Amino acid sequence: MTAVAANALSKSYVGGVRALDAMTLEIPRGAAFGLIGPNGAGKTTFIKLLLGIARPTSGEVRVLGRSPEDVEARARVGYLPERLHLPGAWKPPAYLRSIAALKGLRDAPLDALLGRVGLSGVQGRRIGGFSKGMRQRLGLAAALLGEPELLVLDEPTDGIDPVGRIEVRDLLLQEKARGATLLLNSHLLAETERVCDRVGILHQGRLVTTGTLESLRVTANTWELTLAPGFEAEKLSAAGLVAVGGGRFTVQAGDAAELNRVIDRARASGALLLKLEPQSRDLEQLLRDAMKEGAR
Amino acid sequence: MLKLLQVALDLIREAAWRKWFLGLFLTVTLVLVLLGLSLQLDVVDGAIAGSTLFGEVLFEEIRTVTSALSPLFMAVTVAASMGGALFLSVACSDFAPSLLSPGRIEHLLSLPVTRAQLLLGTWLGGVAVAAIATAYGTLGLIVLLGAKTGVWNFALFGGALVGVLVFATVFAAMMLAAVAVRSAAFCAAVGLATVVLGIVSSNRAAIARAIDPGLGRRIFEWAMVPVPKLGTLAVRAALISGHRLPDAAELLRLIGGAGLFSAGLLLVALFVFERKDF
Amino acid sequence: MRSRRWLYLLAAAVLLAVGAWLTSGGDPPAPVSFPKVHMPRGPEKEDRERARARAQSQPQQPKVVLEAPPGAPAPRPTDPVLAALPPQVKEVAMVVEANALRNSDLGEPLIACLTSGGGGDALALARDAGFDPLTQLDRVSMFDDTVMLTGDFKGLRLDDAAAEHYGDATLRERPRREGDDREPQLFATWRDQVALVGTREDVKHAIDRLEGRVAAGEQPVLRDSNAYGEMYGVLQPSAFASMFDELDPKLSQFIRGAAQSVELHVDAMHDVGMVADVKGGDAAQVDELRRMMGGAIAAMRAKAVAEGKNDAADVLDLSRVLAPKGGGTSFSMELGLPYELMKKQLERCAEAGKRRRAGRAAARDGGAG
Repeated sequence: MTAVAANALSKSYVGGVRALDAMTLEIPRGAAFGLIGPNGAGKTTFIKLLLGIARPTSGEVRVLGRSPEDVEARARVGYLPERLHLPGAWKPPAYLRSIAALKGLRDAPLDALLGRVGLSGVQGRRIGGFSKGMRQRLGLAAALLGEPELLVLDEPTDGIDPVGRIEVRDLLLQEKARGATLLLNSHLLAETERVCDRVGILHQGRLVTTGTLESLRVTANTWELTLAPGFEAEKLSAAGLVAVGGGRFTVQAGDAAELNRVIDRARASGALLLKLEPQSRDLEQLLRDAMKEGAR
Repeated sequence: MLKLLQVALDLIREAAWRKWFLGLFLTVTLVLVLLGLSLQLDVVDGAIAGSTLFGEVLFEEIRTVTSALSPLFMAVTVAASMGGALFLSVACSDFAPSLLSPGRIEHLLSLPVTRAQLLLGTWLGGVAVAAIATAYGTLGLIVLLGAKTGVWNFALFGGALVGVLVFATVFAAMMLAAVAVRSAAFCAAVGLATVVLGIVSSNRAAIARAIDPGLGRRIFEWAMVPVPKLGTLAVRAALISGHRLPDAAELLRLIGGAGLFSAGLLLVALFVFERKDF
Repeated sequence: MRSRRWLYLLAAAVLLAVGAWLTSGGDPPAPVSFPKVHMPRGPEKEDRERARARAQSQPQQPKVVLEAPPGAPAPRPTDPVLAALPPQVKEVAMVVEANALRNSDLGEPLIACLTSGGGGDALALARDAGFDPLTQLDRVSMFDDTVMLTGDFKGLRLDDAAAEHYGDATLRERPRREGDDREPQLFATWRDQVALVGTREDVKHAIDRLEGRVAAGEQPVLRDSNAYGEMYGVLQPSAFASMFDELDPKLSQFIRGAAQSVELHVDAMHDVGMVADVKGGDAAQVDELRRMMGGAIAAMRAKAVAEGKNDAADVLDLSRVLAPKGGGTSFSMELGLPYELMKKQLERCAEAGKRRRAGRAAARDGGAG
């Protein structure tokens, strides 16, 4: 079961600007998907197409198995836009009541929801007097109304202090645990890394790579070895190890037999193995590599 | 339908906090209070035996309340219909552009609400704001003069209703302007222009006669064909308020013309809105 | 979805077209105007021209005092209609400018109404006798039980075998109808200009006044300055009060006590505007009466509205009681009947008359058959 399915999805704007180029993507239900990419990569365009805010030039996108134009589909989606406009003269419960009514919800637990996003005790204050972080929390509460099956969050922790970010992250993890699918667009890669189990990297409108975070992190055929002090660097280099520094080396090996042969040669030179693991990249490295690949 | 009403209700709630509307309600209240304190009516068995305003004698003769007050009711209706439409064109000019503002429209479109509901709800909300302001003023005037004379002229509500239709037409044009170009200034300009065109259209035959026969006159005549006669409608509203029932068939044609014009503009606005990406 | 969007545009085009068609039917806005009826508030150009024309066309005038000595009473009116009026009336003295009415905007529908029913038979009888009221009648005046007509009676063919003469007048006994128990009536003509119907005593007194045989200083109840409008006259309070007997007995009673006289003027050249000047003795009582009259108009209007008589309600909307004058001892009341309303009423009257006449003819034919 897929929560989001895009098939050769393209969007061009007036003037020939191609914001999204034949993007094909599937996000399974229950996944926490992080969409990353530099500014102008097409992330927001994809979200807009996903929610029917903009319409594709070609291709198709399905949300929870339905067209984004279908209000039934949108009823099961919670969305937090990047720059949410909030009515300054209203108080939080009134705003949430209005959104609940537009979502067709009755008796939504507004106070509990405000508590969940860290806004308990401000029900009587007008939104106009809220800080950016408080506004963001209120927007998040609006997105969470009705326990949506798909949560689309565009920069959800923007303007929120570090402690608040942890709270929001926990909240998103709770939602994931509930079974909701998360689609996160954040420029904070660490945040994406902590919340998401799958990522997609967009560059110049194209989906450069996508998959589980684990699979993307792993660099194919490269292993990292940590050796005890007292090794002879020249002999190790001759055995096929590349020094990284601090007693760490990398090895290129096509399979386990080859890897073991290299390790045997190193041990024969007197080196003592402390740790062996496949080499992994962080999200920043991943993005950098993907962008390089995309540029080629 | 409920969602459409919710959109309208949200707009009314938002408008209630705007300085424009607080000012409008304050002004209406102030005028009513001033009138209540200053207008002295000498009433005898349902007739008015004399009247003073701010101590100045308006008239001393005795006439029936209806005939004495109907010029007042009629003047108020025309002033409220046309003046109100002009005022509200400016005061409501950012309703639709605000609906379409970045950060708001994306959020609204992500909700299970159709674009038609958003557009029509906003239009309905704007018209409801005008109707509430009109009803407030109308009720105030009826109560004020009713308390002073013992005669309750509920016909003023009929006139007010037709008067609100004038603004409903103007606001439909403003909605179309907003979805085409998201600018409050442009919206206000279109609103004001619609009021003026509505008056010009009401006098189209006389104005056409004043234009030299030829292409210019023909262009004018053709341009005026779809424009409803808002000036005539305001005058007919005044007649209703003043207990002088206008010709029903003509009134229905005028109301129908304005109503269909509004519906047509809203459909064009919907066509543009549905095609638009945000 | 896309096809639905184009459907919006198509529907919009249809709505705008139908809307344009509907709008094209509306008339240009008539300026907000309040129906105004001209009220007779004093002699106007037409009244003065009428008086001047009459003075020129009447070489034989009643005796007049040409040079009044200082302190002498004011001269009597030269107009025979005014001159014939008594100094006091028991109930009413009223003059109708029949010729002016006939030539007014309402003249045609008025004549159609008057001649549609039994009036048509009376007209035929008068014409047979050599007098055409439509061309030869100038004015009609009524003072109490006497009716006086002025006009051209030269061609009148009457049986004068039993006639007697009084001054310049010829008096004839009017044949009495069966069951008529009133005092015997005379029909008198005076110098081919005036015809009078009334009791012997009243007619003779009128002729005396016409020929100047009056007590020194005696003035008729209406003077030249009162002769304006197409109808004018005076009513005694009791006559005026009796108009309100049914509607408001309390008001009727009050009029009898507070009013001394009521002068009435009607302008009917286009619309019908009536002004009643009510005079009284006590300012406080007159003011109370003024307010009661205003209240009565409002009550009549409310009743008319309740009964669905919108025309009557509109007429009463044009009614008003003016501010007091003469130190508070008099005031005026106005009542306006718009031209369109009057025309409609007179046309209805003519239609009803025609129907009555046709009904009578059918009944006669049926009886004969």
